[in-house]
Amino acid sequence: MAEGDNISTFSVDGGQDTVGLPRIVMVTEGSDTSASSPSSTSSSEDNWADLIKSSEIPPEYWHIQKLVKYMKAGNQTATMVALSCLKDHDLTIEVNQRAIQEIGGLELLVNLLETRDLCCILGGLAVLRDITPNIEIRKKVTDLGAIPLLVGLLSDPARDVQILAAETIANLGRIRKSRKFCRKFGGIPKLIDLLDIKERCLITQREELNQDELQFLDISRAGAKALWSMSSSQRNREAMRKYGMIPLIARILKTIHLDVAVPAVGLLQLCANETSFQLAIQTEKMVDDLITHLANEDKDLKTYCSLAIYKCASDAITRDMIREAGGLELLVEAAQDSTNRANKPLMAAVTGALWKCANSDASVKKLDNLGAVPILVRLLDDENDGVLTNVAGALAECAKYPPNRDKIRIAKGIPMLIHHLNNTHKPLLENVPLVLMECAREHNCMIEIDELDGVRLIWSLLKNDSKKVQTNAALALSPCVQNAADSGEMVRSFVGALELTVDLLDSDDHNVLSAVCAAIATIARDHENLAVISDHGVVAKLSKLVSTTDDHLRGNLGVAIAYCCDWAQNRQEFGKRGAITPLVNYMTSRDPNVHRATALALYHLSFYSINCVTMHAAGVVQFLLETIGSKDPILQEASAGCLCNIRKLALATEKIKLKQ
Amino acid sequence: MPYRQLKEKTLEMLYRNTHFSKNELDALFTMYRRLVTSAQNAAPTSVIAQPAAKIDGIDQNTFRDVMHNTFDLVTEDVVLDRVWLTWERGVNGGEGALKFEAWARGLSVLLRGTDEEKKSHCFAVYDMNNDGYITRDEMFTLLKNSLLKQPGDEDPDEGVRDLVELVLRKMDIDKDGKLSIEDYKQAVEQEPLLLEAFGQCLPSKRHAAAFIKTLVNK
Repeated sequence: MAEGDNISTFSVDGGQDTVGLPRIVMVTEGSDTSASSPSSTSSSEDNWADLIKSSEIPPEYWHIQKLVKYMKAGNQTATMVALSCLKDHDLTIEVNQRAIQEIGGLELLVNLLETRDLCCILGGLAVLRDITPNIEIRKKVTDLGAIPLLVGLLSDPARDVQILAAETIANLGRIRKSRKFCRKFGGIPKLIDLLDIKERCLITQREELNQDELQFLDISRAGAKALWSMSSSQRNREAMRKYGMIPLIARILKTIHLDVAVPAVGLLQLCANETSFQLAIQTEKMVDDLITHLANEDKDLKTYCSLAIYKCASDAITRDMIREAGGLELLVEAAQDSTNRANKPLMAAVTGALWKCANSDASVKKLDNLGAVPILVRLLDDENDGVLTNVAGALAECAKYPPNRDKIRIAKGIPMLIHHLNNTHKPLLENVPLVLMECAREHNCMIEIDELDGVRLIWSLLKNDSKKVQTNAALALSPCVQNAADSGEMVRSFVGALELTVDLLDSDDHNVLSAVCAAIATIARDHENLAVISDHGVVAKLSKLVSTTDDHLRGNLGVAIAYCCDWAQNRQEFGKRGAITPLVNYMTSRDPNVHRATALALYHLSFYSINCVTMHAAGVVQFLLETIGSKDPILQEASAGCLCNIRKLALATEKIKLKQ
Repeated sequence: MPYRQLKEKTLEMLYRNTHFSKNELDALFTMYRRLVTSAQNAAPTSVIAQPAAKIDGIDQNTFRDVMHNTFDLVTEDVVLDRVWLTWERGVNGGEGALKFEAWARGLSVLLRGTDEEKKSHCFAVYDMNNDGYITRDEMFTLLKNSLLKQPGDEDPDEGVRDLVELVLRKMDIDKDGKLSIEDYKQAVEQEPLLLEAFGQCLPSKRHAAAFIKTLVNK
């Protein structure tokens, strides 16, 4: 069985899991849905038709068909003879598989499974196991009702039968229907039973095991393969958890045998799509074993281990465990190894794991010690989008730590990153701006980004239809605009950029809105630009957003409003559009960022007297009296300033009253 | 009538020479006695008013019944006869009724035989003229009825002959046109399905296991 083919593709809209699913982007074979199968069979149909026409059918084909005819017409003895001759042929070639299929051999083989004769069952299973990798045959055999029979055979006392049945189920499981049937006919608990093996067998060399123990090992390997195949369906994964597979997997992971480890880890990483399994990896102490297997030379095993790590590293405690077990060293080593470059699934998995693991300060420090940043930057020239996305993600995490920003620049990472802004692959476009966002805070990097026209390219990402891309691009704009030389001029030189930005305030996604507000707050510091965006109606749009209850949005909105006040009639307009009272309400939030932002906004608004009246009427004073004592200097100053303005107005009013 | 109870000496010897435990041997003896007694009672008298011929062991009829009913060994008559004939009868050999020792030793091979014992048993069954080789003709005789006669067949034996060729080609390791015991053993070693390639002559593992279970429970 081609192990590599069991990697599946996932997308957030795959419909298989809830939000928060780690996004894996990899090179894959097409998923085995019935939608994709017809296209693959039509091409093989064409090949087959050509073959028949050219009458190049080898004599083996006819010989096989003759054997099947004997099986149909024969008693048990004749069937056995024919079966044993059939097994002599290489049943993994398509011609031979077709031979069996086209003479009605599949029905015969499935019928054999129903006999009570052990030898017939064994012979039938051996043939089925070899021909079921063929996609047409898989479908046919499933339709003939093989799955319930195979599931029944899993309980057969003869161990050979169990092994062959499980291996056949593993082949059939590449179709969705088979996976569903297996679950419905109670196959999952039976397969899980096959995994139950003594630890001794797992950790002793094969030469030192007796016959029985060797067979147990084979049984658990077959069970793992079958379950791996089954775990492509989310419902099956849920069933596996329910039927108590987790402790058994934890035990099997301790094995030293490569052929058992590969399906076991393959199974684990597919199950790790579920948060319950991600947690289990942590609680059942599977991390150490995973790292042990990660060190193995076998590339497939490395790939699956990396995938498992990628999926479970979203939890901080697991990340720590991975780091302490030496996972980062191994991952960096694999990323560095030039012989791995051609193996795209491996590279994508390893870089993905690095990305997710880098999400903690201690890990970033460790990665620095390992010299990870230059290694990652070197990978930016890869052709594979999946690899690039993950590398960019990892660099974004590393760049949060200031010294790394220069490292990226020195390793010549900036030009490549900017080049990738032209790519169309959305996940990549989500991550690259985040790297540039961090780098833009570093002076020399910013110069380079500017020279290469990076800011314009980031800005044009605001036109992308993915919300996440828009959000991250907008987030990247703030530091760029803040730190670029001649930033005001630069921004004005981007045709249509400001209008685009203001238009994004019509979006319905809160993350987009937050990020855009942050950007606007930075843009508005330049007076000329503020004039331009005011012309585009930024005041009206910001005012519309004021009624939000999302604290994250409120935090950025407040700051945006604050800096948009300083032009022409904007202050007044905010007041007229009824932005003040809702703003005062923000002070009831518990988020200190919101307080700060609101205080800033109110301070800037309070330079217009009518706004002061409105604020006062809305009861702002009581809040400000509290925040005036805050430890946050900006909050303190803004609150004080605002109160000051209100008081000045009150005093002025008093004076006028007195004069009268 | 011979021993109503199994002699200690015999029990010892059988315990050493078969795969049965002492309890199982006792149970087998009980069963043996029962079979012989009921066969005796059912025997027809040959001459009026004279007692029937003495049956002092398991005769061929009883044997056939046990094979069919207890072990579900449904097979060609040719094969069953061969099993009867080749059954180890001990020093005196012959083709008469089976005494208990012979019966027990034979069952040991059938029900719990090692791979070697089973191979030897099957080969002996199939080698119809006991010359140490299974020849084409012997194979043909054994497989004659293994294919359903199709209505359109001109030569119904053609399929059987072809099957014989296939088996021979597969199992004839030294390529001398016939199967020696060495050929047979080697071929079965590589492909266990071929053990009973010329006809079923062993009870299925399931039936063997079920039978032994009933022995112990008695």
